[in-house]
Amino acid sequence: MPNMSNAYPPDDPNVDREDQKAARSLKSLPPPALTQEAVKKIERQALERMRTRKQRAFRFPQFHSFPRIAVALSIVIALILATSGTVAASANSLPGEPLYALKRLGEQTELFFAPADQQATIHVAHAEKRLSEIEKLAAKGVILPSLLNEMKAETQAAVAGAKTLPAKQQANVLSAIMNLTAKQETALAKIQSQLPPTHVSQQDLSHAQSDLAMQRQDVITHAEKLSIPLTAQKTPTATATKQPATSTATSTVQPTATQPTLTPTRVETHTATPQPTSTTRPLPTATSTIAPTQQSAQSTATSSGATSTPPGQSGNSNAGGNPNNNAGGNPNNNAGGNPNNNAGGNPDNNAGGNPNNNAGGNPDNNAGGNPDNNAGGNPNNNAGGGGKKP
Amino acid sequence: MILQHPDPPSPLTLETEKKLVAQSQQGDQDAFAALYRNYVQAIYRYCFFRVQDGDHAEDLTADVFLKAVDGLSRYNERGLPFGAWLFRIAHDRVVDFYRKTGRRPVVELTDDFVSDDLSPDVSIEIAESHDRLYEAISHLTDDQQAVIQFRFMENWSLEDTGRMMNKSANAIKALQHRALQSLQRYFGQKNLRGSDAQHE
Repeated sequence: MPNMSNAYPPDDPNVDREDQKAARSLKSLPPPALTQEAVKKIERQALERMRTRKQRAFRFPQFHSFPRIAVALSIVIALILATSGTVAASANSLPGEPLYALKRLGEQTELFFAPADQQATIHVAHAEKRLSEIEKLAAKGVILPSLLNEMKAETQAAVAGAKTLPAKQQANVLSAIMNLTAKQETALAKIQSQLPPTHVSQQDLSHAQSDLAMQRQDVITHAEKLSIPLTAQKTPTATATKQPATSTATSTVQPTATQPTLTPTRVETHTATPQPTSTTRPLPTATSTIAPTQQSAQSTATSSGATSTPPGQSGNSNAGGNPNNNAGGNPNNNAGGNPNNNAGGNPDNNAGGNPNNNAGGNPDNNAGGNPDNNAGGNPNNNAGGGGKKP
Repeated sequence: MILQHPDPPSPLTLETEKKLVAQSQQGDQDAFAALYRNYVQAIYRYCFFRVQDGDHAEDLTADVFLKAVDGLSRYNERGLPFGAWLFRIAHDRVVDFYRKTGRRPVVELTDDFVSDDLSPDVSIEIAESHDRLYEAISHLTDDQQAVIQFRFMENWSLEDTGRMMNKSANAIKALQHRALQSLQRYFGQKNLRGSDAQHE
């Protein structure tokens, strides 16, 4: 090789002085290169491959194996994530949050791998999670109709799944569903009562309550038909039936297997054991059930008086134990004559003749004779015969 | 294989590459063809210096671009040139070639391979043909080969070479120095051996 140290190309400023000669020699050499023919040949091969892949891509969705692959892949990913604790971290996520999709994926995986006799129980658990999400979102002022529908769907799936079980297992699952629907209706009624009557979600909530009441009735009918004893600890809820704005609405009690008789009870504190003491309202009235703790009071309104039963009952728009929506002639959410949050004679939201959110004769959200959201003869969203606003 | 001076360097900017890659991923053949033409000779040379055979290097080059087409949908731009991905594929194909053919890479030059007593100025002049120089390059380490190719055959700057190899410009400069020194020592050793033979 000739010494080209003083020829083209010039010194490279990025090469050390002692290496300049070698660098120049390298730069002056013609490097190995493909012929133009070979370049075009490879280009044709590569572009042909591109065309082939594009055609395959268009056909790919037609493969029957695609959904299986997708499901299998999702499961594998979910398993990996589950072991890393990410799913656990997503447990408290809400719709719209980054980890929520993961939470739902984890639920689907749980359902996928569950034995057939556990599926209904899992649906119940999922419905409870949806309910919890609905409550949390409602606290932020957000009502998602899609979430309501998903909760209803999970409940429906639980009922359908329960019916396929052996009678012995059915009793437990159906009881769980009864408790679930009671909780759902209580929560939805509470959310509804906190929204303005004209809120766009009022109708969604009313529909959801009606649908859940139907599920509940379905469970009861089914249990009665097969003589399955239900051990639900909570009473049925006051159900709102869709009615036009009229005060002649009648309430339907969705009974548990024990068909409790409900009478308004005066409760001094939320945790006090309620006393079945008074039947307070003339027309219309609510039949209310009072639970020893706040979460299980329930009212049913009839067109002729409100009654309440003591403990162990639950529901919505209740008398006793609940801060709102009680049965009894109180002005505020109470059943019975307490000034606040009691059943009977309270100033706010009571069942029976209360102006707001009462069961029995209240103008709003009451059970019994209220124009809005009442149980018992209410035109809108009432517990026990209170209809939804048309 | 033919020998010719490299095409005038017309490196694509990262932005242009990014657009072409995105279009290629959508099935735009013209976009992929532009990327192909930008890198095909460099990929060929990369393979050639490692297998020391024009036909095999051509086959490997074709293989690299077919693999690139297959993997294009999975390619993620991470701030590196598209070529960096292609050279990674080329590296894998060469390793695969060695495994399939039972061939092993030629013994790499190390600092101990040849004597340090020789004058670089003299030793470089011993290379009497392209083939000998290519052979000498094939004895360099993988990174040194890449630096010699990118800097002095593709005429890429220190920075472009660094981006392609995911190294800093200073690291490339150091690597370049060691590669040139190794080449000069290699030729010095050859010269020494040739002189010894003549004396004997």
